[in-house]
Amino acid sequence: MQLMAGARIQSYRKQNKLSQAELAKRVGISASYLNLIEHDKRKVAGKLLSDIARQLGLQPDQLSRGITTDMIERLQQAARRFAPQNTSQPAELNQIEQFVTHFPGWAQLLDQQIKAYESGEKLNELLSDRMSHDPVLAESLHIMLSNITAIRATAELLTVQGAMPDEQRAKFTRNIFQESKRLSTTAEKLLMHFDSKISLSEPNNPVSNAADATKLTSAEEARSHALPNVPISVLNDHRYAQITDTITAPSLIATMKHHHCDPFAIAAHFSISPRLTFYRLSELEPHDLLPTFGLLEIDNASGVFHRKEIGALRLPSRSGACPRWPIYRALSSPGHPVMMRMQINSGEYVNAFAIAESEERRHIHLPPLTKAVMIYNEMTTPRQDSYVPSIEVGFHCSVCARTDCDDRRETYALLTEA
Amino acid sequence: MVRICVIEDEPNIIEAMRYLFESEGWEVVVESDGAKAVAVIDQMRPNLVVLDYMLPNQSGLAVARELRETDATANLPILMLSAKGQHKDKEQAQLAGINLFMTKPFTNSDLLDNIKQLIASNDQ
Repeated sequence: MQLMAGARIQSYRKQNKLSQAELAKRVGISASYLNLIEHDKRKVAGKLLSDIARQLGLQPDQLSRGITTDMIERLQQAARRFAPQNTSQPAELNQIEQFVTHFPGWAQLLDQQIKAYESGEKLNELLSDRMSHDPVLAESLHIMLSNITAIRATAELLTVQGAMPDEQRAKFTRNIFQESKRLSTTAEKLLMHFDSKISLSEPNNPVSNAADATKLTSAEEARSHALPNVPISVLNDHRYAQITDTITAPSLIATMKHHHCDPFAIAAHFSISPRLTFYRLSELEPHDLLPTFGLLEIDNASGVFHRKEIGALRLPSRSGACPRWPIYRALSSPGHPVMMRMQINSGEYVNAFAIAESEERRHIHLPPLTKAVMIYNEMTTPRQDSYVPSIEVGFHCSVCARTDCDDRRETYALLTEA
Repeated sequence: MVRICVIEDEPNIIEAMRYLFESEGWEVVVESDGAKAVAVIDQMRPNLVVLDYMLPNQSGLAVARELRETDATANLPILMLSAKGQHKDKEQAQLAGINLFMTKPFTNSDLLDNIKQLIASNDQ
């Protein structure tokens, strides 16, 4: 972090009745270099700034007055981002350094406002993400909209339609009462759900934290932005760097002729671990001849490490999903590939492949943590392969209406009385 | 006589639609199971299908795709009703061959107008 301190160094130097040559000599630089610093043609930071401040009887931050190059970059970016179109008076970007030097208080105030705005944006993004991946909310809204549709259509018939038999009128009235009861029950349950579960102070998981770019180093950030579908831990795996050259769209198309869309066979073909193969398949650009894959990675402590959602199958952003999903089967027997055809609640079919890997045991008394990764693709027409088990699955028991499921671990939260 | 096939699983919505359509003098056949929808449509040969997005056993999208793959129903007008009104849902519906996507809740008059327009344009 470098500081824009030239004008203040010059001012304090003169107050201390020191020549440029004298001050430069004391801090071990040439007078011409100090002259460049005083005119903000050279940046000053670290030990040199501390030395100059000490010679002037000051603390370093008294020279910078909080003005940093980071701040200047932030102000410049904000000026570009928020510049009104077709304005006759754009922000004077070429005079930004003079602005922060002569009006440091205003500059800091503006910088704080920009930071507050950006922080609000991140929070908004995080909340939107949570809302859009909240299964209870999504399912509740779906039910409520169906209730409202029935009420509205029926009420409109009662109001607008001409003569109607009394019996039919009574039936429609009962229907409206029934639907309004369901509507209020669902709304109450939704409210209870938010009261009990939604909290902004809730600890974030790694997925949520991924949105917080401030926690990444610049190198990691750059790589992460370059390949947003793959987490940093995978990107940092040197083996992954090798397979990005090996597993490409053309090589896959050729491979799939022999192995169809079986990612385990593809991993074996390229002699690469299934986990890395799954990640590579999930990040490939869409191609007409290749299926698009979604991906979920979890651990046996219910953490969600990474998810890439495609199609109708919703993936959890936190905690667990339907216990029937193959990823949980894989978690119970690390190293064993699991292949399954899932029929989800909306009726769509999904091909899913999962495998779990245990990390190395770090302590004799600590069993290793296990992570499982699942890759999946949607099927437009279900294949009839007899060797692939087919199973009906939901998203989460709390929003799954399959009453006959033996694997249910909690009740259907939105169950309403008829 | 206009024949309408309603593929929907909400009983009270079905009842309202049946009354609305029959008041227009149309013949109405209803199926609530997505997996049986194609067979029912194939047998009835309706002028138009009103298809719900979310259905038990087979989604409305899968039903639409299947209808589009069959010569007899490749051009059958399909009006999809859905509580899912996001852009990606509409896009998927379009890809599946849906002629018109209506988001729930809707007004009866809009529903009737749209059905009449779709049938008329298919007859031309």
